[in-house]
Amino acid sequence: MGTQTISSGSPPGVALPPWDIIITEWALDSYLSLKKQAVFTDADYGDVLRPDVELLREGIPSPHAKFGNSQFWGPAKQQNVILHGGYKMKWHQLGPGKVQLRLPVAVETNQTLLCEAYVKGNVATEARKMARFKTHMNLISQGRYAWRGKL
Amino acid sequence: MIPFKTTPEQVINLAKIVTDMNQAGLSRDFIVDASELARSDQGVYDLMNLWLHVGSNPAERNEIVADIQESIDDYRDAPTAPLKKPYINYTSLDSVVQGILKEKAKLRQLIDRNGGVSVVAQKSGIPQPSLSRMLNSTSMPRRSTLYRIANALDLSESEIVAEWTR
Repeated sequence: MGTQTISSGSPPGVALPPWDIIITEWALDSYLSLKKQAVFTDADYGDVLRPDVELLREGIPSPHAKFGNSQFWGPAKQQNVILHGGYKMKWHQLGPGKVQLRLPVAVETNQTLLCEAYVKGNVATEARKMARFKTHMNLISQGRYAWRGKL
Repeated sequence: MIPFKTTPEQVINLAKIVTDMNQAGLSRDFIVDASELARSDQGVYDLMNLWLHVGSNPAERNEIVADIQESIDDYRDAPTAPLKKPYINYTSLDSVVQGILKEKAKLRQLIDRNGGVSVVAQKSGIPQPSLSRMLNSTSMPRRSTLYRIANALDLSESEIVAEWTR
């Protein structure tokens, strides 16, 4: 992975190293469940999900226009309270079931950590998933997590 | 992440939740672990609070109990520093899923031979919703959970430990 030139948020021509995108074990475990449930196809993964997630290499806040779209990216919230350092990547009408997929992302210095992805459900499910994300963020902030590689 | 510390009001609320959980028949070990963690982890506090407020929905309560146990296990099993485990390529996920399902079918047989999920849950101290979720999902079982089952059923390590664990 080489360096890249980012025009937004840095002086023109200044090459910034790409951010690491870390796959936590919570993320891997959720992919296994989503894969079994056929939430997305291999084509969805290759054409949509992975390219979108790879945009995180450009860092947060991202210079990429997609990140200005609140339908795609936004702070993680619980009961309208923003979780500091936590974000959600969102996909709509995804896969055979046309579901809404959510990928919580914890942001640390020069790295993003992918956490437990899930299909958006009812209010109670969303509250549970955000509560779990808080715990994951807490453990990440303490450096107490397992990772399954980088994207 | 902003450090969390329960307010006096939240401590009082936790006491009510603990009482209700005890009356609902949840194990003392689970309640103690959960309430201790809820004092410093906002996610666990939120889950306990949710449990209180979905009282009329047993299925939702079971999901929350399983989530709380996941969080307890997350802390119990968490490494002291970031732990790099082998990368699993996307193209391998299907075969990993099949391997996990095969291992869980074997585990389910062991559990059924020993009285079933509720009996093994009680013997092992694992909340029944957690054990059911583990058996019915494709998530990698925790090694610590498998050891709890092995100890409860007096099984050897070779009988219980699978290839795909976390």
